[in-house]
Amino acid sequence: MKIKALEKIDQLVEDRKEEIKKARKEGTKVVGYLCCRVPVELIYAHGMIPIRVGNAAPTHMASGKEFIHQFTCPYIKSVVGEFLDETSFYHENIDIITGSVICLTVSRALEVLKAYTGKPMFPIHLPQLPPGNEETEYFTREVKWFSQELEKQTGKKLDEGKLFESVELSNNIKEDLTKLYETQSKEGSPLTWPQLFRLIHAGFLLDPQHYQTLLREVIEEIDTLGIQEPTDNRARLMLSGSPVLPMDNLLIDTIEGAGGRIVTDTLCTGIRTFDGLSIEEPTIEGIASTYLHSCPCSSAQDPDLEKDRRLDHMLKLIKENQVDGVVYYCLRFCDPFAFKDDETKAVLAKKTGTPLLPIHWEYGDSYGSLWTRVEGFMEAMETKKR
Amino acid sequence: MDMELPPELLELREALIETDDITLMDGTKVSPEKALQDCLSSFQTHYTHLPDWPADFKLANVWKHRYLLVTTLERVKKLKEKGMPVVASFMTFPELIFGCGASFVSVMPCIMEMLIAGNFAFQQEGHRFASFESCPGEPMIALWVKDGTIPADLVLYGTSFGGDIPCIENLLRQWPEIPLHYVDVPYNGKGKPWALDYVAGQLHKLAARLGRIAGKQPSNEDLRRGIRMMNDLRRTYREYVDIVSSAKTPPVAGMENFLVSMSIWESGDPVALKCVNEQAIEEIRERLDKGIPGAGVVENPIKIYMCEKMPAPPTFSFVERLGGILLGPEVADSFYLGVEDVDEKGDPYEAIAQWYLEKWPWAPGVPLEDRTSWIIDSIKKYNPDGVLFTGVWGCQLDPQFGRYVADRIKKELGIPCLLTVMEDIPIEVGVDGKFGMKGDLRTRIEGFMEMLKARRG
Ligand code: SF4
Ligand code: SF4
Repeated sequence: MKIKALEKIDQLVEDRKEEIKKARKEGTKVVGYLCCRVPVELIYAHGMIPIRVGNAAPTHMASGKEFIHQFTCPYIKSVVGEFLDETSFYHENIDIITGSVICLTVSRALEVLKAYTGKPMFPIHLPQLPPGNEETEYFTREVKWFSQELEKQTGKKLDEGKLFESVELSNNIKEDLTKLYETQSKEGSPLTWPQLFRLIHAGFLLDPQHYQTLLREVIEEIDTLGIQEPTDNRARLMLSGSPVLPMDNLLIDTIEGAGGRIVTDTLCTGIRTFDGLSIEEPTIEGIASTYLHSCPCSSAQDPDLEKDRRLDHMLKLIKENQVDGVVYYCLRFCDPFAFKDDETKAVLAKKTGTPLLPIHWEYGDSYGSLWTRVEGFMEAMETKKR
Repeated sequence: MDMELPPELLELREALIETDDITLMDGTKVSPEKALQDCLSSFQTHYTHLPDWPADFKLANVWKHRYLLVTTLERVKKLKEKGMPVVASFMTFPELIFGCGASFVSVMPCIMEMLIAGNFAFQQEGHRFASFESCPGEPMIALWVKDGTIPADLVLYGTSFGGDIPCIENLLRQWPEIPLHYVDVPYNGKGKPWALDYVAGQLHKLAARLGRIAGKQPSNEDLRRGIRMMNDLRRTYREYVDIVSSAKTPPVAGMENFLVSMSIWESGDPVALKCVNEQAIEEIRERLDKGIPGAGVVENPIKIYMCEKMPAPPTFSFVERLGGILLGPEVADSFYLGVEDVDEKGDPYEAIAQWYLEKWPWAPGVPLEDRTSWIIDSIKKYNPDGVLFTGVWGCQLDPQFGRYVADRIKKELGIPCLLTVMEDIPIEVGVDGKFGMKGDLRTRIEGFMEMLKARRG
């Protein structure tokens, strides 16, 4: 269904780029970040602009290979390619680089970006093991250090009032996204998951105030349209695995084209950008604790399979969203996710009986084989539904 | 010895039996005769590819390195029978493991199984276990732990001690009877006191766990003993590198150098390694004094330093036939040359934590710029004509940095760097199932050697 507010996204994004250029001229610093576990609230509170980098543009992937090895995942190749392309928006407008390092590849990318751009780089190491006292203590100090480094960049101390405002705004955004997320999952919802996914990506760049206004407009419009009489009998799917980047629409289009309906995800470019990230206490300690306790990616270490945080989160979402099947995306050389396809499949089969389709994928691979696998999976699911 | 030996080996045997015994970590002595015999019988029954290796047979004591390499598993099993716990680990915290009275086995027996027993099915199984995209080494250690070939009491793994390790070892959790222990070493942790506290705290937990397995909690002095064991070993390796790197014509062949550096890397017994290193050093000094070059090594060869990892074994003699020699590799040098030893006097937990966080050039906490500066300094030591950077298929550890390292080498040392990839093993293997050299690597190395020769004028 057409949602008018969503049609503004492209324009808003373009306008935002101009705004950022202007803000930089006036002295505001822009922080480019990788990974969804960077505390953006803190960056805003320091009066800086955070931008989440990375998209699936093929040209960037190709140029990234010149600087970082071809064995690297396409996400990182693309980030490196775009960053080091002297004509790109990132290259021109990002002053500081950061990333939350839990996957080894992110640390490699940050190092390479620093080496070739000479820009200041502050990686935040997120503890890999389930959080206990030591992890909390370590990570709180790490986030404090990050904040102090930002202070050095701006030459100003962190203002507690600004931190409060920033956390509050960010919490409101997350609340709105949660609401939209719940709505899209309902049968007869006027909002689809692909639409929401695109809306989430807009938040990687837009000013948070403007972004919240946009979210509120979408919510209002959807409320007016209301939930329709359900006519939908499509299989309800979860999209999981490696990040699906902005502009990487092929898999989503294929799933929807083959008769599936995505209703939830576990992606670090999707639900994990807000789910479980509402900050109760607007302090550095509160921020650190929230990020530390949120669901980690597949790179994290849970030596006890029964207590795997990622799998628990996945199982919870499967239940909440009555998922019929999972499409598990494995980008080439994304080891953390690709190596765990069989394990994830076995756990789901045992705990919920939910089937999982692994898709091992490199951008540019043959579309035909993707279609065949997705279509076959849909058919199997329809048979099961019947 | 009842085996019929080729003439070169007969001669070598004569030289070898004159040398000293190997003293193992538990005080056991192994005679050189026994070491040779065990090597040869294992080659005949199992490591059938070894006689095809181009390694020369000239250095008697390097046979002891071979012995240590091919008997790692066997020795570890014996130690276990004597009550020593076995830790399966990549090169993570050997100081602490030995200090806690445990032994450790790493990826080397698996690599040997693949390289010299030619067991590529095993390697393929590893790929099935993890992924086709995984590196060749790590899945195999996981498989051997799983089927009990490595009698591990604990599988130890950590952040960044190998590219695929966290992903692969973590798969072992599907078998809850296999105890896993993870140590998280923060990236960019250099100079951060909270990172040091964090790692040291985790090492306390690890030592307590090993103590429970061994039935005795380690004292600080026990840990210092483990530190000294590894530091002593490091010193012998440095001495070895000093001799080899400063010689105009190295007294070792490339493959011999490879055996010394690789056994040093992962043979699980620092006492035995120190012992055989000292013996090899003496022999190498003698050869140097007498002006005897390594077998197959030409006078004043073109020297190539192996940055990161090393290429497939046949490359060593191939380079020698073209008038060069491969030296290094950085993977071993970084661990043993280090920037400094692990501190032997202060709090041992902090000392070990600090080394693995920020002193080892490959430590996760060390920024790429610092590590590359270290590489450049160690390359200067070898004064090579060029550098060969070898990334391993699927390795998520360091191939990513190849271009940057090569750029800095070119800029700061003015020498060329060839970036190559050790492809997945089946691609490197010839039709006869034996290690071959890929045609494109051959061509690239030939071209590189031509260039290096032309630069010498
Ligand atoms: S998790 Fe996968 S996609 Fe993300 S940085 Fe790591 S390897 Fe790349
Ligand atoms: S090649 Fe890389 S990933 Fe494989 S064992 Fe070595 S360091 Fe690990």
